[in-house]
Amino acid sequence: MTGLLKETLREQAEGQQTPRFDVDAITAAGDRRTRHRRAAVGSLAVAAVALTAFTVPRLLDTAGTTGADAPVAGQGREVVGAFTERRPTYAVDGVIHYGRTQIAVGRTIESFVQTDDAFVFTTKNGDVWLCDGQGSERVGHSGNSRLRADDTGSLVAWVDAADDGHPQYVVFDTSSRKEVARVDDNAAGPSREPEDRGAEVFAVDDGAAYWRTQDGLVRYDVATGTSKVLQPDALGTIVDVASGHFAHKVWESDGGSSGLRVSTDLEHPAPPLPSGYDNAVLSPSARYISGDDGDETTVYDVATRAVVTPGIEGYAFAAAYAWLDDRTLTMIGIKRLGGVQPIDILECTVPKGRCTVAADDVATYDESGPVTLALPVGQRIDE
Amino acid sequence: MAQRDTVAFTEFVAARSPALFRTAFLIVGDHGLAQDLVQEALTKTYVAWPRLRDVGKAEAYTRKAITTTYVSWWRRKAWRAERPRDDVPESGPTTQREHCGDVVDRTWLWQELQSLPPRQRTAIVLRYYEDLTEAQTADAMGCAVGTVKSQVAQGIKRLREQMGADVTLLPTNELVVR
Repeated sequence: MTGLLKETLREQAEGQQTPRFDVDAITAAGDRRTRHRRAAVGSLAVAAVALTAFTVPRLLDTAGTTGADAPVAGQGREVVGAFTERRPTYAVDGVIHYGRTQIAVGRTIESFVQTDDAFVFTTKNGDVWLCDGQGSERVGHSGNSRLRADDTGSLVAWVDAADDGHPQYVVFDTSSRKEVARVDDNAAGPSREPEDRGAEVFAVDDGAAYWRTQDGLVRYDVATGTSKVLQPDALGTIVDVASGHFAHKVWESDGGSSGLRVSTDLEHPAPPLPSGYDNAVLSPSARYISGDDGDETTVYDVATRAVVTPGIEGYAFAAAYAWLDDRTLTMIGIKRLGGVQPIDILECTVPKGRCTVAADDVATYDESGPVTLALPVGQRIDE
Repeated sequence: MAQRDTVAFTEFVAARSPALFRTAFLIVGDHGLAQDLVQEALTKTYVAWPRLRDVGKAEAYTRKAITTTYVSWWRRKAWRAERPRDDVPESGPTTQREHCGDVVDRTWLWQELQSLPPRQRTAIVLRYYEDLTEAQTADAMGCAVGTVKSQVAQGIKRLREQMGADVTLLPTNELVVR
């Protein structure tokens, strides 16, 4: 006598015809998911990584208050005023971790960048805020929560939308606290993906902003307020710009790209790098470029094309996200894949140096949790 | 980085997917949904494959993926509106039910099982169909052993209330005392 419950379960189970599972479809989906997750976690391109919530205690400001418009303060009541130094930086919820200094901004951060004077961040509704260590103020609105800033300096650029919906390219100066450019474009709405070939700000470099309009890839000189079309047909995309060097891709006729190149002239592109990076970051002088090719980060010497990737030992996955200077690269690292895993921030020396842990267990990697970790690259890490 | 052994994974799917599907069906009560659930769980298993060193671990991982994914889906309630209910007999108070033998009892019990909350149903399927221990069930559900005990006890209690005291749900050596 096995009991009615077991008999019922067995009868129902045996009464079902087992379907055939398509292993090819399963493995293809799994491979795709793995590639996307790793790329998204590390280099902020696309897809479906998820990072679980990691709650950081909200810090009190010098007046002992918190809240939406409260002033901000650093750890141990150190008031932060200037941010010319680049340190290993990340944000969780409403707290920016700038090296060992924590700055509570009073809002959940969707994306953020650093300038010499401030951190500029977006919130979920697209508002753009500036936090200078003394307080936060709203300075604009972004159509796609993407911000771009230079390695040094005070300019930040993004795409806004005019009242009738057409894109406007905005450049904001954090030193003067003023919007220094707002350029109309009658093309389609803000791009969510580079492949959309819609309105997109690519980079800020040496006093110029680079964006894509209906006219093509454009360089906008902030000082003179003049635009120059670099590539009329927008047959490509700019991944990064540093010291006048473009990390860019050229679209082929079939819609794909011919690999990542580092060129000083888009009309005469350099040969593609060996890896077909989805994402890449140039060092401030463009001497090196770090990129992620699905599973692996590789760093190249731009001039010699030699691989100078630092040693990343003990991590199943690591991906570069920002250069602190020409020889120091920050990465995120995950020691083991699968399940819920801690994420470390790594500081790595180039060329061919080593990586050390700058901050451990800053958040957790999970397959299904919400995204709460932000890195100073100007867009959500799950885009 | 460890590579995925597609051949071994294919063998695993061929060998274990029928049993995994049966368990999934008992948990969700719908053929199509169970198929989707196992497909998703196998995809997750494939992603995790490099660190699953033997088939036993892989099967446990897939089973856990089935239960956690199902609870997640259920929470979103997205599937509920699509779930076919036309095979469910009319419900009514226990006192109005006529006992016509074990077939009717099993049909009735199956219906009542489907009305249990998903975690109670999952715990009961894992304990009394898969014959997992409480610890194994807790692992498969991603919860504490105490939670398994309470979920099973509540589920069995509710089934007893619906089926009536004269029905022997479980052998006497597996009676749940609460």
